[in-house]
Amino acid sequence: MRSSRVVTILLVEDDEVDVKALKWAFDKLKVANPLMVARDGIEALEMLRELPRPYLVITDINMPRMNGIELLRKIRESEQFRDSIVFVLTTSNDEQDKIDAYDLNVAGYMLKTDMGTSFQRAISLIDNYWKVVEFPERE
Amino acid sequence: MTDANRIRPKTLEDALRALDEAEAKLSAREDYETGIRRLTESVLRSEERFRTLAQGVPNHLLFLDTELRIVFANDVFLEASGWSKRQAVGLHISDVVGVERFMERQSYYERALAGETVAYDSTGAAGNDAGFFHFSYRPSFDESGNVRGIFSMATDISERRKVQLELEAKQAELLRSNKDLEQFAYVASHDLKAPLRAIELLVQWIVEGLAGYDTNNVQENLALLGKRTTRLNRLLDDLLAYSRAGRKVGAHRMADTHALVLDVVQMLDPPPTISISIDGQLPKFKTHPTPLEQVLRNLIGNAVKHHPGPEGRIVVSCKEEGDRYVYAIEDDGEGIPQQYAERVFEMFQTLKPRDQVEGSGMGLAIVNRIVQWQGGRVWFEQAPSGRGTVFKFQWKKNQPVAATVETKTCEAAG
Repeated sequence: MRSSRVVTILLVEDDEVDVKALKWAFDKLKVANPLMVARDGIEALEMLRELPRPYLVITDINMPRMNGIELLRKIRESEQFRDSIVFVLTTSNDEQDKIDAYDLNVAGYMLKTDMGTSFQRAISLIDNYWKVVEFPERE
Repeated sequence: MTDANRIRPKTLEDALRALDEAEAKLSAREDYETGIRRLTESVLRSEERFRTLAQGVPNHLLFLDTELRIVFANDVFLEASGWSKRQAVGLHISDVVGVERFMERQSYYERALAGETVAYDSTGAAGNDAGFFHFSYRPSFDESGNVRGIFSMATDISERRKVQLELEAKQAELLRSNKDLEQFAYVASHDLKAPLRAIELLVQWIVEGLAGYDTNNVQENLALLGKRTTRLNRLLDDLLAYSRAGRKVGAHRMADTHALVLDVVQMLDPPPTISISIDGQLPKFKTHPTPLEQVLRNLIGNAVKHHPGPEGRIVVSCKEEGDRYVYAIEDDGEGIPQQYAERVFEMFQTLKPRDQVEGSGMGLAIVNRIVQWQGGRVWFEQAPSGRGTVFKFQWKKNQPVAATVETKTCEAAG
């Protein structure tokens, strides 16, 4: 049965301007999903506990305290959050980061490259993604 | 001729026989003497060869008897030890190296006396306590296979050792610098690009805002643009400071570190609600004051910058520990969880988003690099009061007057 509920998006990003850029891309593409923002991995883990399902996580890699790869590791180790769908949206074009991310089963690894358009592409992909794919029914 | 050999002929036959016998004896004796002479010559030649060889080698060479007393010592040894040949011969080896060293090496001598060839490297030989030597003990056997003594040879490998240690240090430095470079490439692609990308985005929004496309706040975006430009500038400055850390170290001179800290505090100009004091008197010694000041400025500056306020107390102190001083900068701020013990000293690492506390994340990386350059260590502990952090670092009293060559080159080039 198709879940009728709207997907909440948790954005894990320490850069204020990137948060704005993402919100701006949401506006441009008229994506109205609820958006939550965590400033690093530790905040993200705290917010996940409160987050209504279904949800999607978009995380940066380089962040204070707990980076995106460490956050992914924690998520996959956790009984409660291991099934989370996580996208990586980062400036890191480092091969090792990509390998680590896919090893931790990310749904996609996306680069912040140029002005704005990479955000729009990422958001339009994620917008289509949650509309097309089925999420497991789970509380 | 002696009386005993005098011939007293009775008859002619007797006389002839005696003459024959005498001739035979004489010839036998001549043969014998020739033999002895040849043997002596051969021994002398061999001895001569041995001596030439023994004197020719640039090493200490001794022949010790089974009691470990010197039977033979070559000139290199005599010269190094300052003994004459007469003084040296008969000395026990423990008189040569000292009882303590002898005890350390006794087992090697015992093994050699038991017929084994032994080799090892150690510090200190006759007349050169600090030098590094390669020792070899080779037993010498008699015809029946018993050890009759030991050839002991000591080769001065101080130079080789020095070169080897230098090589190892260079290799470690190379590994570290490669790791730095790798890390640099990584952060350059993220931390330096991030503000630049933000600037691009902001400019785009401002343009759109001005054109009236949307309701973006131009004022706010312009302010952000300014902040990002400053941040990028700071990142580049700090990156340069990092690459110079431990390279441009300035003069080596007497420094009053008490006055130095007072200067640093004055320059930092902390808010009046934060008090900075010195516990006791900080030492005065000969060092490179410029890098030391850089370390103190970073650590005291951090304590001020990251203090949650409103009122704060920062105390600087110093303790002498052997060949180094240990400086401590204690604050009563938020404290740092021990799990970040390593990460805080890495490049571009911050514990708070830069949008909350503006910082390059390079300060402690620079501190770490400077402190390591002069052979020390930097770390942090929880403050004894349970609130806040104490940063401690070791500073050597006798630093290498390093990097002067590079400084000169730079000056010449500049």
